[in-house]
Amino acid sequence: MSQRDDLTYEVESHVRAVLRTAAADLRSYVEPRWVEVADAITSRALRASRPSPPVRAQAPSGPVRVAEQVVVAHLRNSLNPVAGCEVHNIRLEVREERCTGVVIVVAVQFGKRLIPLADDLRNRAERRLAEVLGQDMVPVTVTQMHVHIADVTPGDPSLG
Amino acid sequence: MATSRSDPTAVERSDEVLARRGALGDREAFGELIARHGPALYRYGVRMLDGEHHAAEDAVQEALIKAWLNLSGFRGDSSVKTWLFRLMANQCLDARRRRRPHWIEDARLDEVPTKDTNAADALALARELREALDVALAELSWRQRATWMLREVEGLEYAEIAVVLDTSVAVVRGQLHRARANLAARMEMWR
Repeated sequence: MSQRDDLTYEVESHVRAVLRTAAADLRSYVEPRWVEVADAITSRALRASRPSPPVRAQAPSGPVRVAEQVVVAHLRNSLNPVAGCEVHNIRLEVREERCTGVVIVVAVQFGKRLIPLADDLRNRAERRLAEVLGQDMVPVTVTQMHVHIADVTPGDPSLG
Repeated sequence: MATSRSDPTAVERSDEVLARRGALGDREAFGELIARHGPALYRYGVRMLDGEHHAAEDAVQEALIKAWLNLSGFRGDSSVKTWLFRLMANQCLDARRRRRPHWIEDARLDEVPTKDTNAADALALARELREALDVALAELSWRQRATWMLREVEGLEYAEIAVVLDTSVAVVRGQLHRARANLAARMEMWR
C-alpha cells in the first residue's frame, strides 16, 4: 500500500468516526424547541375527537345518546384494574342505536383461573354499563356479554 | 425505551400495550407514547424541513392527530415506532410539496464550521459538530436524508425504513450508501 493510499484510508476512517460521533450525538439530542411545545402539541392531539356512532342511553332526565367510544373508554377503565389481565379490544354490538351486546377480548397471565376471571370482567362491565347507559339498557346475560381469551402470556400481559 | 421521569417506580409498558390502550380511548397511554417518540419525530421533522421549526411543529401535530384518530386501525403489522415515523414522513413530504422551493444560499453551502481546537468545552464541540452535520444533511436529496436519519439516528432496520418511506429494501440500501458517501465527502472538511 502506497503512502497516498495510507493517507486516504486514514482520512476515510477519520470521517467515518466523525459521522458516527455526529449521529450518536444527534440521537441523544432533544431539540430545545420540542421541550417548549411538547405539552401544547400533546394536548391538541388528544383533543381531536374520533368519529363514533351513537348509543342510546337512559339518563334520569330522559333518553340521551352517548358516543360508542365513550362507552368503550368507560368499560376499559373498569376492566384495567383486574390483575394478570390486559384488555386487547372491546366491541359493542349496536342495533338501531341500542347496545345489544359486548365482546371483551383479553390476554391473561399463565396460571390465572379463567372462569372466575371472566366472571369478574363480566360483572365489572355490567356495573359500568349500568352507570353509563342506565339500568334499563344493560345486556346482562352471558350470551350478550362475551369474554374472549385471545392470548395467554408467561409474564404480566399489561406490560407487553 | 424511555422511563417515567415523575415516578421512578412506575411500570414500563411496551409501545404495543400503550397503543392498544390508546385505541380504547386511554389518553394517558397515548400521551406516554408521545413523550416516548415525540422528540425523535420532531428531530426528524426539523431536518427534513430544512431547519424550519414551525413547519416541523405543524407536521408533528398533524402526524400525532392522525395517529390518535387512527389508533384503532393499527394492527401491529409494523412496530408502533415505524408506524409513527411513517405518518411523520408523509406529513413532512406533504409540507415540502405545499411550500415554495427552498433555496440554499451559496454562502451556507461553503460554510463548514471548523473545529475550535482551543475549545475546552465538549458541549460546544458537540454543538459545532451537530451544526456541521445539519449543513451537510441539508445538501442531501430528500430520500437520502430521510434514509440516513432513520437508519443512523433513529436506528430503524432497512425493512422498517422501507415501510416508512414506502419503498423497497434494495432502494433503502442504495440510498443509504449514497447518503453515507455524500455526507462523508462533506464532513471530510470537518477535521
